[in-house]
Amino acid sequence: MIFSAKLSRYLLVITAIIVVSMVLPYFYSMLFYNSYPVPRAYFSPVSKDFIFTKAGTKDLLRYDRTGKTYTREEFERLTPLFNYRQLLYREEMPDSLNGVKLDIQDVKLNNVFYAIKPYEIFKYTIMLNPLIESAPGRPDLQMPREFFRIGEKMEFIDCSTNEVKSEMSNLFNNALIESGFEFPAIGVYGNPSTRKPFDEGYLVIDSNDKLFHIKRIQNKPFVRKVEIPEGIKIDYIYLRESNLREQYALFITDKNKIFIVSYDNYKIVEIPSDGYDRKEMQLVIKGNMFYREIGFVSDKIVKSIVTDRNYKVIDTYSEILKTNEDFLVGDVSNYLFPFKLSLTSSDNLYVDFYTQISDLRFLIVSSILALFYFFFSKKRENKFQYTQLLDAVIILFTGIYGLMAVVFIKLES
Amino acid sequence: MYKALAYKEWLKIRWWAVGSFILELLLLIYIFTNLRAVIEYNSAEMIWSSIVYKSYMFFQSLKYLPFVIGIFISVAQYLPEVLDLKLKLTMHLPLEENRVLLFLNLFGTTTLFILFLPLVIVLVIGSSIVFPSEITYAMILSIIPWFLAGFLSYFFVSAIMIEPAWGRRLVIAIIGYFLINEFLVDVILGGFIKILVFLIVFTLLYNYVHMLSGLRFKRGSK
Repeated sequence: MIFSAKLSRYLLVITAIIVVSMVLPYFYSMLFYNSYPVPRAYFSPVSKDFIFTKAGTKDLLRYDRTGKTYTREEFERLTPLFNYRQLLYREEMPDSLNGVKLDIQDVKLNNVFYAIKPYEIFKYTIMLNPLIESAPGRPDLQMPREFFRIGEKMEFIDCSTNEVKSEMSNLFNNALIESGFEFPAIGVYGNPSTRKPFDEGYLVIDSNDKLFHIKRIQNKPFVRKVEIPEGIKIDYIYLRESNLREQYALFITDKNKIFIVSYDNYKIVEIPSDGYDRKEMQLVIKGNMFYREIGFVSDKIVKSIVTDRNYKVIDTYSEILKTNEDFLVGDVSNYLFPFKLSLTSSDNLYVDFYTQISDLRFLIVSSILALFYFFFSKKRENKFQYTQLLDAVIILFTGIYGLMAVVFIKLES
Repeated sequence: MYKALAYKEWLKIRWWAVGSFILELLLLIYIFTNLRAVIEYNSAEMIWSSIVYKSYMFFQSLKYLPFVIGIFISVAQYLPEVLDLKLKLTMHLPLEENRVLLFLNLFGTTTLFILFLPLVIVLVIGSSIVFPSEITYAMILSIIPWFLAGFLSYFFVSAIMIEPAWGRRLVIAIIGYFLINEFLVDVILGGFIKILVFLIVFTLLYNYVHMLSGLRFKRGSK
């Protein structure tokens, strides 16, 4: 009986530690943590320098590298390509910029903006997708009635009957085999929407990490192997159709390198990625008639690399942001909490053990707690037990969590 | 002796078990009629899209059912025992107390398993008729933590019931609440895949969680 009761106690103690290490830091941060605004960087084609916006106490702050602040109107005039609608409205849109005539249709077409968040990369995906007809002979695209999978073979499954359409499946499957595809697919990336100007199908990674472009053109398969640099492993592909027809997609490798698949005969172009970590940073791509801005944003850092349209670096800005860790609340948290546990993360849609381990400062508090507990319990029980020592060791390593656990779930002598 | 003990346990819980089973049946009827209607009034493609891209869970209404059934069975099994301290008699049977306590919990666990299994089987068969295996697999990944929450609610409520001291009851209840909360957290389809095995092993260990309270019950701790 005693042994099982002990087992049961330690089970409860461990559970209590796990639970408290999730709940306590959470409430602590809810109570004491502040939110620090993250600046957004823009590159002005007028001043040829960065200009930033950041949430202020009252209004949005607009400032440049020297700290000079701007009004909203001034900011808009400095970023005419980004704010062309407002400038048109105020009839302040310049006719030309840097010696290039500005045609509004051109400005619109060349404006690019998209962001890839960490949780879009790290999530469970059900690998079923609709293969939209790319040449429907109609102005609008239409959602097909079947979804495909690429497992041991490529198969189309009719949504209403849940049966494999064998004729169509064989057609596409053979096309894949002919182009040297190794089944099964380990990643299928596309833009399964009908609200887009045209359709570019899917970019698919086969089991040899090779890249293939698959489209459906008048119900016939279009399969093209895309040559990628040797030795890279693609982790995520962002494919969005755009009338600009400059790139099919952007992909990120497992080494955080970023590449573009261009319309120029599927040429692969590496773009600057120094400092990027897909696990915790948002990748923000902005573009206009003159520049491309590649931004890496998290709550700890903002980095922006400005390049010309051929991705030759022009200017770089990087700023380490202040977080709660840099203030007293962060210090106190490091003394109090040996670690913080969470099963969910804002950067990752998998449930997993996300632990933030404190630096060793927590040992100061936890060793004091452990000593106190040890002497106090020895005095109370009036004798020495090895289990008291074990409890003290638990407190030493788990600090305030362990103390709460062993005090609330006391030993049975 | 164990056979007789099992019979006694069965007498206590049978109507609760039957009630839970009826509840499951009603829920299954609701899930699948609802699914039929949703497909009928939209289109199959749309539902597939919603599931794949927006994590639409057609089985969402099932979420808290195992949790509730776990509480039912635990209350049915242990409330009569602790109300007039009948458990004291059980503990004076010529059997080792540990084994009796473990046996009581294993009986409850088995009952829950028998109650949950047909529910899962019908869901899997139903889903396989309408959806491809990828979606059914993602569904299984998503519902397993909910069923584990059912076992956990059983284990924790059992421990709370057997526990003689109110303060300690509160402590166990708080720990149980926050633990079970993590199993019922809202995530996308298949989100639990990485830690599912760990959670299953962890849950099985909780068969022991009421033992400490059992010892305290026997000693009449306050």
